[in-house]
Amino acid sequence: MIVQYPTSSALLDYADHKPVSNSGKPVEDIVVAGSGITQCFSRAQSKIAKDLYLGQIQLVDLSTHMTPPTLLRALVSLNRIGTMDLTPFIFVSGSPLPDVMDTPGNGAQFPTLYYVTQETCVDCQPVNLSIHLWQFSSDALTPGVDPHLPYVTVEPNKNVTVNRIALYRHLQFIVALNPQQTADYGLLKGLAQKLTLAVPYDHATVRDIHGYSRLSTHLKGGQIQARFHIVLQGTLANLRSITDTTTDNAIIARESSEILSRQCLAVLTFTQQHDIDPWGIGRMLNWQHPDAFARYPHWHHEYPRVEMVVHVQMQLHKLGDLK
Amino acid sequence: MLNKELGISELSGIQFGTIVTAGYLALGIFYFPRELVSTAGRGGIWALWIDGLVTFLSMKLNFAMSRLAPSQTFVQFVGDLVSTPVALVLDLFRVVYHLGLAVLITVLFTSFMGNDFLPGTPTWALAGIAIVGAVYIASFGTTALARLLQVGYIPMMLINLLSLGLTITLIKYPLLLLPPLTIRPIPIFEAAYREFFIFIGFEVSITLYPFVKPRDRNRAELYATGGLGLVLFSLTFMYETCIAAFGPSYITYMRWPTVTLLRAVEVSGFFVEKWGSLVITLWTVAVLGFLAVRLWCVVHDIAALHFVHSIKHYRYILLPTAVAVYVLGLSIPNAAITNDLTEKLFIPAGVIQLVVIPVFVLIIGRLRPTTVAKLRKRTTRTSTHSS
Repeated sequence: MIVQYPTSSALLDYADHKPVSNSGKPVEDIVVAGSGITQCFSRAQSKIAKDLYLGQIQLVDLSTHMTPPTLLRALVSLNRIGTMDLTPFIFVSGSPLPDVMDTPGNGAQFPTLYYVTQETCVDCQPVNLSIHLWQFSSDALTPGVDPHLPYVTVEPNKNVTVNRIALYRHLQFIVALNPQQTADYGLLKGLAQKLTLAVPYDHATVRDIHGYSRLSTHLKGGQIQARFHIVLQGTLANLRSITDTTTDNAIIARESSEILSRQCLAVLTFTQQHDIDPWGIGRMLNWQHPDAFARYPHWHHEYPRVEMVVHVQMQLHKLGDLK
Repeated sequence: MLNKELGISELSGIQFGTIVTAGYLALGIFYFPRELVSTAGRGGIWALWIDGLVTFLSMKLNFAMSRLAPSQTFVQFVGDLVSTPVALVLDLFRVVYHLGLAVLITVLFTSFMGNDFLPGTPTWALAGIAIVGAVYIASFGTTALARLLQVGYIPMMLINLLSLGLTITLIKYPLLLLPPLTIRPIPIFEAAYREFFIFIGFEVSITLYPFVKPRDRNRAELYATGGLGLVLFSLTFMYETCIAAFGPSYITYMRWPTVTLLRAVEVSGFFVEKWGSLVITLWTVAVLGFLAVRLWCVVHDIAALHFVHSIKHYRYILLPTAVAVYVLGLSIPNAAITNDLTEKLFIPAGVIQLVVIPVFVLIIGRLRPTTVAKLRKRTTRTSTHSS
């Protein structure tokens, strides 16, 4: 746990209405280790004569090595801190916490704001990956859905990259999706913004792909079917020919829809192989067909057998068209 | 008992409506909608609406009872209608019940403030603040209480409702906004029973009724019913946003779900980023209002029991009552116990208060029309005197 408190010079600057960055570090860190939040906190308190306050937790960093019982205990104690809003961001990382925190960033003054921008996926073009503590707790405690978190990688050159999604089965870390899968994950969740896709036809590129996704579950004679209906809009760019016809547009729209739905299906199959349901298909089944869901005491036994259907509907705009 | 002679000014219709509305809601709002969701799952919304309907009907019953002798409080006229010993039992039950409700809200407020906002402040101080505040509000009598609630309670409710509008941004699953069509009656009725707590307390109306200007009485009833409609609307709104943001499973793990929901709201760019947290502190107004209305009601009922002969002694009874509430409040260590007490004692007692007693009194009234006519006559004379 890292406990931060304002340095005296920063407080003086603040009193004089000067920007904090003028005099170096705005906050001082105390790094402590312990088996629980309370223990860490009392250790930090014993290191310093100032009064520390546990209400303002900015960020929760989980380790990939955390065992489910430890994670559960940590979650429970975080949820029990009555004075805290459950809004701090939470992520998972394979690197130790001090390494993650030591990386330079432009958000020293506004840590909360910083992580909102930081946790947009760099490679897979902005999927907003940030997760609040209450969102994670909600997923962890709801039957029929597995929680997921942004996976923070510390590069050898001390840069932080957030371009992957860590998948959990209950509270056990299983696997992290690669950047490509993360982009498709964003599509399936309806989070994708400004995605770019190269289409073989006429070497066209579709950029600025964004839209929403709707999940629904259906029962077909005992077989569960999960349907993802993804409605996307994109802008056509880099066409070789100067003018594009309606036919060209239709072909490119169809091709890009096909490519995207194939990619999405691949991610869905990947999660079925690992038996992780981050989409909340079980949860949706519970909401739409509660009796059917009640028949499965262990959703994870049933999840790999779910039939997945992805329907992508792409609408193309020409570059410069008004939407 | 002549109201004017006793120095009691009279209330307008909207003031009556405000006091009656402030007389409930505060108790259950802290848990809301946990009891509904943990018992009936997504079907909780039906339970809430059943509660609203039951409350509406019992409100009608209570007004019908008050109309038997419009210028007298329940405790004043019930002795003439049913025999004195029966009336004494009913009156004592009423006093104890209202006292109990005041104790419950003190405990709930204390633990809520202690848990979420002031962890270092001792319980006695928190309870003391609530009680001293409520006593101060109640000590100026009926009209002052009504005016204060009018300027404090109504804006608080409006701000609350508007802030809840912000929580729409947190809604993740719009599907959950639809009331579920798979209806399981038993859990729904059970949830309705457990959540009925939120509507308990409006029976203050039968003590308050004589204080309304005679020509405003019909309008007063309308305002009270309108208040119920508004409360039901805002509760539905709270329920919907809460369940659509958190999902039904997570709510059952939460201590104060609506509080968490409002605290999760972030208005970035606005000068108060944590607007929701600020609004929750305004709930103190609702708690103080509820407590003040309770104290007012207990004191009037005690005064009318003829232990003392005039309502002029109002303030002298108010103080010992408040001390009793304070001491009893401190003797309950936490909010989990009040939850248990509510389910086992106060909801049944509330149902007796709201449904059984009015039905009983109305039946007796039907059986003894001459007594009712005599009461009415006295009442009419009273109102001519007083106006």
